[in-house]
Amino acid sequence: MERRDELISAFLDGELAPQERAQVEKWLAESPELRQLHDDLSALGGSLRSLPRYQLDRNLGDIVLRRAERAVLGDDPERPIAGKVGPSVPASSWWLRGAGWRRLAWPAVAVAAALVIMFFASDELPIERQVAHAPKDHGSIAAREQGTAAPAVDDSLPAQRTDETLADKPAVAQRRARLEKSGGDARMLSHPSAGVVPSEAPAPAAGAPAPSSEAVAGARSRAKPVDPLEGVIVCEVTPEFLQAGSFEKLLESLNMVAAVAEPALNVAESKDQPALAAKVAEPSAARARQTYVVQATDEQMARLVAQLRKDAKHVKKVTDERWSEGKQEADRGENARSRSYRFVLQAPADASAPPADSENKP
Amino acid sequence: MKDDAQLVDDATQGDSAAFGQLVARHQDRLYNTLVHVVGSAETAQDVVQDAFVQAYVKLDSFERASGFYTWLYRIAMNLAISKRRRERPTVSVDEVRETLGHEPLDRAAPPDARLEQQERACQVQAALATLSQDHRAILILREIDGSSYEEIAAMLDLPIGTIRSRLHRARLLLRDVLKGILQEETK
Repeated sequence: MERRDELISAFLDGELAPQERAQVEKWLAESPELRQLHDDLSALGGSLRSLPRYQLDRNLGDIVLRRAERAVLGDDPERPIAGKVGPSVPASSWWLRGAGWRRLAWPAVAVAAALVIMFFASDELPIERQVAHAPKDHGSIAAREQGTAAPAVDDSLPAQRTDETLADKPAVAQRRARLEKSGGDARMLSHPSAGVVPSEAPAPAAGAPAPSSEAVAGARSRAKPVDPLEGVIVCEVTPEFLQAGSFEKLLESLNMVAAVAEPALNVAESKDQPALAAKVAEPSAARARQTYVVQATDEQMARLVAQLRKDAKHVKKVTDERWSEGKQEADRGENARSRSYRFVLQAPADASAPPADSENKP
Repeated sequence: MKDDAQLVDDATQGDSAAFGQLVARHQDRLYNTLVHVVGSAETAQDVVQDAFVQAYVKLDSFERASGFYTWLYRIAMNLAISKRRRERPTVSVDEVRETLGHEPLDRAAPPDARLEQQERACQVQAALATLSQDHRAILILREIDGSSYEEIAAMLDLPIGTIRSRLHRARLLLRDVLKGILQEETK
């Protein structure tokens, strides 16, 4: 009887061979129980087919391709950016077709290249910069290095690329050779698309105080490659905002630091500050733009952007071009990961000129 | 219009827009199936996205023994199973109702075809939620996704004979659970 029942199901689905179908039709004609079963299962199928149909309210194509791109790059640090991506994709197609990716990648490459050039060319060698989230209590860094405090866990940063992953690249090998010749740390290598994160301070210029050994050790332990840029936030601000260093102060109040993409960095002078912390050159009235690379979690970004928007007097417009998947990851509880964002603060060079736009973008 | 095989070929040759077309073509079908199988719109959305990402990354390994959607569905179900194991063991009936957005029946309202249909949908979804994921999936694939036994066998990687018997078993279970729900609601 069980087999007969099973054939009733298959009969309803039209999945029987002609001979089986004929047999079932005969059974149905002879058996009220089987007819009842047939009717029950038929009604059940109708109920299931009447369930609402769900569909997504947007096309996932762009998000999928961006995530896949990052997944490929993240999974395989040996894979060159200009090389194969995903399923044997030539560099030109995906990189040139990606809507937002190219806009962000090339400026980041240019910034990184400029900084590397500055390092090798300048007599005043910049000490290492911290582009990751750093605790406000800088003293705790030294304490951690001495084992007297709980270690700061920053598993939001990607694992540091080792020399081995980059050693076979000709350009990297050349940089390594120059470093070794100058007595610097050959680990001071950077991924071309990321911010420069040297692992040890080269010798400071004569007359400048040497960074403490604790700071250097702390800097070395924390120096990690930064992620590729995840978004650009453009802020139209008043000249006073730039002149007063308000963005740096805001970052400090939120326990965040940033690398200044322009202009060049100065050596940190205070022993209380870690060697990695950036000392921003004082903005002047002549400068109409200041750019920062900030590494932050979604929660930090939300607080930072909210604070910027609150300061309606000095911050006239905030254009937030972050990718949405960060928000999705935050919703899934994966918001601990730190990402890199570029903040561009723009102000009219002339303090008397009206700001470009007085409307705050939500 | 190119078929899936041609789009896959184009994508493996570097045409990411071709993969974008595959996403656009299949995302709603996969999403609709997953919503009913996993009982959560949010989980389904996550799994759909993750599945497409994984499919793109591993497109070189797609052997074309089955159709692209079959392969994609298997990726999605594996991800859904992993996700459920990490999150919670079962989906409650109330959660299904809440997630899928059906309003409880207002018994004071006059009988109405639309209300009856909504009520029936609630009952069916509640009954589905009590089945195992295997039984739920096979019912959804057959009745909602409209897949043939052969296609279901490929998606679930099972013999057709097993599909037939499991589907029948799932139908009987659902019928019995629905009878119980109807009896509870008429008390």
